[in-house]
Amino acid sequence: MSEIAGDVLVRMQGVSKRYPLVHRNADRVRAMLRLLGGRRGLADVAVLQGIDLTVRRGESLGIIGENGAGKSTLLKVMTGVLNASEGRVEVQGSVAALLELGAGFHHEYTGRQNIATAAALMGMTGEEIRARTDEIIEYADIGRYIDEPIKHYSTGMVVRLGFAVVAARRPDLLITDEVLAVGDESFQKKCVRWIEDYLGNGGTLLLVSHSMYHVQKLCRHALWLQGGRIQGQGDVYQVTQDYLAYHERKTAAESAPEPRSADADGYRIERVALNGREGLVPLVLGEGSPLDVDVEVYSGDDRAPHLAIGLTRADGTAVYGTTSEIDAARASRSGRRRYRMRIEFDALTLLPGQYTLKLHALDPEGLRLFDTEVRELVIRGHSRELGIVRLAHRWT
Amino acid sequence: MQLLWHFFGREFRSRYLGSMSGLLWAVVHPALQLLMYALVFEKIFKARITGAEAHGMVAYLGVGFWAWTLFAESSARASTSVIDNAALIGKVAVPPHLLVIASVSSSAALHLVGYSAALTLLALTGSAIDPLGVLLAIPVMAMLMVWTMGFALLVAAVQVFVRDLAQVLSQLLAFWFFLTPVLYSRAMLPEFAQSLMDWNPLTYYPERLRSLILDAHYAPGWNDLTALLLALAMLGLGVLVFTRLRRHFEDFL
Repeated sequence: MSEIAGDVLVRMQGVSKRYPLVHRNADRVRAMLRLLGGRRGLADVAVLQGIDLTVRRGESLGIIGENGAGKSTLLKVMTGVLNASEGRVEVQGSVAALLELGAGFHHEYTGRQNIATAAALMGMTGEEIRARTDEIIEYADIGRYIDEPIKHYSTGMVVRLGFAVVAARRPDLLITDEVLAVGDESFQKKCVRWIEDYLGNGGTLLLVSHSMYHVQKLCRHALWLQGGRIQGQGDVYQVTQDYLAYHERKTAAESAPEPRSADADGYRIERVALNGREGLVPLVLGEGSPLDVDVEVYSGDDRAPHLAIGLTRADGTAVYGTTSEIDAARASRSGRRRYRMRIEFDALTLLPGQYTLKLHALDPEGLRLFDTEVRELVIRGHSRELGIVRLAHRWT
Repeated sequence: MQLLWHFFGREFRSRYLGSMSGLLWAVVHPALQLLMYALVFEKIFKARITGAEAHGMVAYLGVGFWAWTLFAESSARASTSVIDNAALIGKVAVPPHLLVIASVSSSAALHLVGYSAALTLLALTGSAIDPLGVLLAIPVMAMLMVWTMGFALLVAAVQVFVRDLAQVLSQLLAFWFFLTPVLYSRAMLPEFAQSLMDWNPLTYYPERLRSLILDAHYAPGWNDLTALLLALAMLGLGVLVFTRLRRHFEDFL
């Protein structure tokens, strides 16, 4: 590892990682002989490609992406656990990594023995380890289990132990991979507090997580990996929201479109404009923006239909729904067998996230549901409030 | 270095101190082994080894046997030292050669303790153990460890790719044992086989240890030099193969 400029802790240039495809034992032998001969191995599959990344001191970077996007591999290549197939990786300063649940722990050994191994692997000297073991044990807070073999531990206890060693190490760069998700609530809070404190003191963090909450809370920047390549990089809110929007689109594409009723006598949504814009592209709004939904409905019998509107969260949780029948609103006739309806929200109190707007055409009695149109809605913002909507409130 | 010491200690503890009476075994085990030779070879087989009459069967076997055990046992254990630690490689950054070195050196350390105990017991029970010869045996054992380290690195690296190696190796070592003059002496073989024995690099160790410790035959000869070169060559080969392959262990574990 060569010298790199002062405040840069990690620099990766054109890094890729390939895994060989070996199915049979004969392949392994052939691969070995090729490697011994100094040639490249057999056919392989790339899990990381063309990664350029610089991490500076004091940075907090969240790494997000689908399962199998290469997030863990990226961290492993960075920490030297795996060797890059191509490209350059330079790392400076002390690094502590919590890559996998119980990684580096030996199941037959006790917690105390594993602390010693883990600390030695992180580069602590024998003296430091002896001096800090009690502190680590206290932080891990797993009581008398500390002298039991790790195999008797619960998952949460293993994570506690791992995190306690890292906390004692106080590295220049902390790398964690989705391990926070395992501990119980109080331990998660303890970890998050510790990380915030660590970042406050100039620590550098790389965090892989599927929890956008954790990523947004702890990181200033985010990196979105997709199929082993960098798909997006930048401000944490921007990137996480793009990522969630991608998921929305994917889910929408997977769920089969609901059959349209072609009933000549029925009612059908002809046109939808959100804030004056038509089309299926998700509408991106800031927090508290107004929303104007303009709908034209075809009416088979030329009677004025009703319209239902519903908002759901990405996971299908209903947020709010109403109909023109409930609100006693009337559609205005805009042409032969055509009715127009408009509903305006002055300021949406939705919190940042992905939402689905569902529109249904109802018969004039407001009883039967005829047609469904779906639009995606993305609310962007920096709010760290929890939940779906902001309820009007005041602190006194 | 810190890490190597740690792994060495961990390996060593798990193998010896893990058992109840700890290091006591390191002394009891060789004593039982010597007793077994005395019983089996002297009393049951009433075996006679040409060249062993002067020293007694037990001393003759004991002096040569530990050298073989050190090599065979250390290699067999080290061969799986990389794959046994698959949980470490690919999860945390650990230099894989440390695992092999720790495995070999902890096995070797145990057998050296056993060897010292066995020699002491032999001396106490009246065998003519030459003290200067024992001192001169130290470089010979060092050469054996160099050879063993090279061999261990080689098999540990290949084991990652060829999983059958461990089985093959145990057969190979059993076979190799009988090709090595541990339980017999070269003088008992027919003429043509006697010179063939020189092609087995391990023939040197039991023979040289016996000549040093039992016969007080100190003068170095060509065979010492050859053995040294062979040991270094094995180490070179092991290091070469291991360094070529180590970058790829993670992909094949």
